Amino acid sequence: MKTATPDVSRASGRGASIEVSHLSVSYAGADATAAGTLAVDDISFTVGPGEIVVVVGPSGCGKSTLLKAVAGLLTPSRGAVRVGGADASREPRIGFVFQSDALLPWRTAVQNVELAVRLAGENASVARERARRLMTDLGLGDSCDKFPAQLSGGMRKRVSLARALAYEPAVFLMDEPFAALDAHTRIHVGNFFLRILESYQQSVIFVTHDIDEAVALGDRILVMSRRPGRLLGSFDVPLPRPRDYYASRFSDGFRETQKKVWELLG
Amino acid sequence: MSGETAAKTQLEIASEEAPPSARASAAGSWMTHGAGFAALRLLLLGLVLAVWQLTGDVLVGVQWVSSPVLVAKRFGVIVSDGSLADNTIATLEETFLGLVLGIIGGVVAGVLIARAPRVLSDTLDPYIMGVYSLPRVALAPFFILWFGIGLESKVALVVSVVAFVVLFNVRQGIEGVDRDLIDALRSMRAGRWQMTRYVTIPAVVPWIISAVKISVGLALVSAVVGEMVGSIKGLGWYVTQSLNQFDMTGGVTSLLIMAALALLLYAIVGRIERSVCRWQTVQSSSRTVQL
Repeated sequence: MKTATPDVSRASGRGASIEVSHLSVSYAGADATAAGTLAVDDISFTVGPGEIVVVVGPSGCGKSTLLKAVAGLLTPSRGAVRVGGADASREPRIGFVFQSDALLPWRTAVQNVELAVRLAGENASVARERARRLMTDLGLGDSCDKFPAQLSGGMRKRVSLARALAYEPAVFLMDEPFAALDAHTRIHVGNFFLRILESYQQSVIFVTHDIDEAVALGDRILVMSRRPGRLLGSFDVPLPRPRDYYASRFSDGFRETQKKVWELLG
Repeated sequence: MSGETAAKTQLEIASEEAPPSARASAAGSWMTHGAGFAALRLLLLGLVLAVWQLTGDVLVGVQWVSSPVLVAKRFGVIVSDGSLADNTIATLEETFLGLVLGIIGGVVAGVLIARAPRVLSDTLDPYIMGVYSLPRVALAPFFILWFGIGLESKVALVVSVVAFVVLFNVRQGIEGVDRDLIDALRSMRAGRWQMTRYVTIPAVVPWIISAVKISVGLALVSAVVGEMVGSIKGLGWYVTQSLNQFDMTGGVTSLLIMAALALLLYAIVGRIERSVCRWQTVQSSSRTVQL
C-alpha cells in the first residue's frame, strides 16, 4: 500500500478544547417505567486544544456511548459536555469517524467527501474543489469515482478520514476506526491517521480497546472500567512527536505506559 | 391462494430469463456463449411445439389442448378483427392504473407507518398483517359488487394486492437504514430534509424497485382474476369466455399473450432498476480486492 505524504502546510491551527463534566448516560429500559441501563457513570475530563486523548477500556464499557454523547448524538442523563473553540462565533464542528466506515454506499468516494463540505455550508463548487484536493492529498486520487463497495477496508477508512477532514472540524472523535482491519492494514492505516492528526494539530478523542494502539496514538490515555463505565485513571504518554504508529512500540516509554494501563485494567 | 403462487412462479421464470445484475459482469462471455444458448433455446421451442402439435392432432385431440397451428391462426384472426388490441389494452389499463395507485398508496402508507410513533405502529401491526394474510384475490367478487364490472373493480383489486407489498418493503427500507449512516450525518448537523434527501430516499429506492418487480406480476394476475370473476373485456375475460364455449384455442392463445405481456413488463422494470440503482449493481458484480 502506498501512503501519500499529507500536505502539512495546510494544517488548520489548533483545535477546540473539550470539557466533559460529571457525564452519565443511561439507555432507556424496555418501557418508560423501567430503570434504564447505566452505560457511562459520572465521567469528567478535559481535552486541551490540539491534544490527542485516547480512551481505552474493555468491550462494552461504554466508551462508544461516551463518544456519542460528546458528539451530541446521545443526550446525557446527567452532566454536560462543552466543546469550545477559539472562534466563539460559530458552533464548533465535530468530525466523527466511525468503526464502520459509515460511508453512504450510493455515493462515490468523492461524493461522500463532497457531502461533508456541503453540510458544512459551502456551495457545490467549493465542495467539489475541496473534496478532490483532499482525496489527492490522502493518496486517494484514483479512487474518487469508485463506490465504497469497490474499495478495500483500508481505503474506505481513508475516505472516511477524508470526509471528516473535509468538514473542517474543531475536534475529531474516533470510535475504534481500525477495529475491522486486519493486523497488517491496521498498522499502515494507523500510521497514516497518526501523521494526518499530528499535522492537523486538532483535538482528538480516540476510543479503542487495544492498549498498544492507545499508547501509540495518545498524548494522554484515559482508562475506563467495565460497565457502567467509570474513569479508572489517566496516564501521560512519555513519547515524542511525531511518532511512528508501529516503531514507537519498541521504546521503554511505550512499554512502561503499556504495563501501567494493563495493570489498571487487570 | 393460487393467484399469488402463480405470480411467484412467473416471476422466477422471468428472472431466469433476464438476470437483473449479471449482465454487466458477463458481457464478454455473453458474446461467446450467446449464440449457443440461443440455438439451444430455439431447439427446445421447436421440440415443445412439435410435441404439442402431436398431442393435439394424434394423442388427445385438439379440443383438449388445441395446437400450435390453430393458435397461430387464431392469433391472426384476433389481430385483424381488433379484439386482441381491445382485450390487451383493457388488461394493461387495469394493471397499470392499479400498479401506479398501489405503489403511491403503499409508499405513503409505508412512510407514515415507519415514521409513526412506536405505540401507533405496534397497535396497527396485527391489523395490517391480518389484511395482508387474507388471500386478497378472494376480494374480487366483493369489488365487483361494490364497483361494478368495469375498470374500477379490477383497479381496486390490483391496488389491494400491490399496496401491501410496497408498504412492507418501504417500511423495511426506512426502518433498516444503517444507524451509523444516520449518526454520521447527524454528527455533521444535517437537517431533517438533508437526512431525507441524502440517506432515506436513496436507501429506500432499491426496496421500492424490488417491490415493483414483485408487484408487476401480482398486478397482472389480479387484473386477470378480476376479469374472470366479472367483466366484459380483457384477456382474463377472453379465457373464461372461450372455455365456456369449449373454445380451447381461444383460451390457450390468451394464456400465451399474458405470458408474453408478463415477460415484457419484467424486462421494462429490470431496465429501470439497472439504471436507477447503479451502485447496487456495482456492489454485487465487481468487488475489487486491493490494499
